[in-house]
Amino acid sequence: MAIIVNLDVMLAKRKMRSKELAEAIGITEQNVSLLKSGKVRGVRFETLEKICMALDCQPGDLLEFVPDAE
Amino acid sequence: MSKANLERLQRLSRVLYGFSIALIVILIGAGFYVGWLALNDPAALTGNFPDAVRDPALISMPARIGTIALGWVTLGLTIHAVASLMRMFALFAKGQVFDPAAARWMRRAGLSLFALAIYSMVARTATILLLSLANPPGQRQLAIGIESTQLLSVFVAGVFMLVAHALVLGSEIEQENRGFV
Repeated sequence: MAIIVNLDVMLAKRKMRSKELAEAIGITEQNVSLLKSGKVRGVRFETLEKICMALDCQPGDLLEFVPDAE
Repeated sequence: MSKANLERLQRLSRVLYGFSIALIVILIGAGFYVGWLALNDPAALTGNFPDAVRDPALISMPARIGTIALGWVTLGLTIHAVASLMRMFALFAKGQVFDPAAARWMRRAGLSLFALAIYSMVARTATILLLSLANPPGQRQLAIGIESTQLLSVFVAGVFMLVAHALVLGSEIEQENRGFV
């Protein structure tokens, strides 16, 4: 997948645990875990907005595009 | 998905599930009762075909058994359709509305109803022929016809299968949505 999710980096920077983030944004801890590992098909804008508000960051801090190596 | 709508659907599904069980029990009981009655009183067979038979007492045992067997195939197809719907209602009651298995059960019910509609056209002809074998030569009957109820059954079966395909599409969309957080 060319989109890398850097949620774990932001959580470490903000010293927040996955469980706290899950509670703050209203999704399950399992979904947060799936999101961290990039094993999701996509993220709703609503969820992205809540994460950015909870972690005080920009979407670009969470998502990174790395072209697939040929 | 609206929680209120889902709960309403689950409640209705539980009621229909119970109704399906009761219907299957009634159909099986009726099948045995009518079979027993027909074996002992051939006049019971001619109720739906009053003009087909001159003297019910002359209907041979093989003809009676054949007629009952034709009726039991109809019963079997009906029970299979109801049982398939019952399985679908069970999944709906658990909230698994867009489960591919629910769509498969609905499709099976549709196929059973379709087979039932086609079979009933053939069964009616065969039943009248069997019963009229007891008539004197020259008065036996071969009646071929299509009733509006049979055409409606074919149509309803088609609708069932169409809705089943729509459910499969819905399940694919739901699977896709599940991958989004």
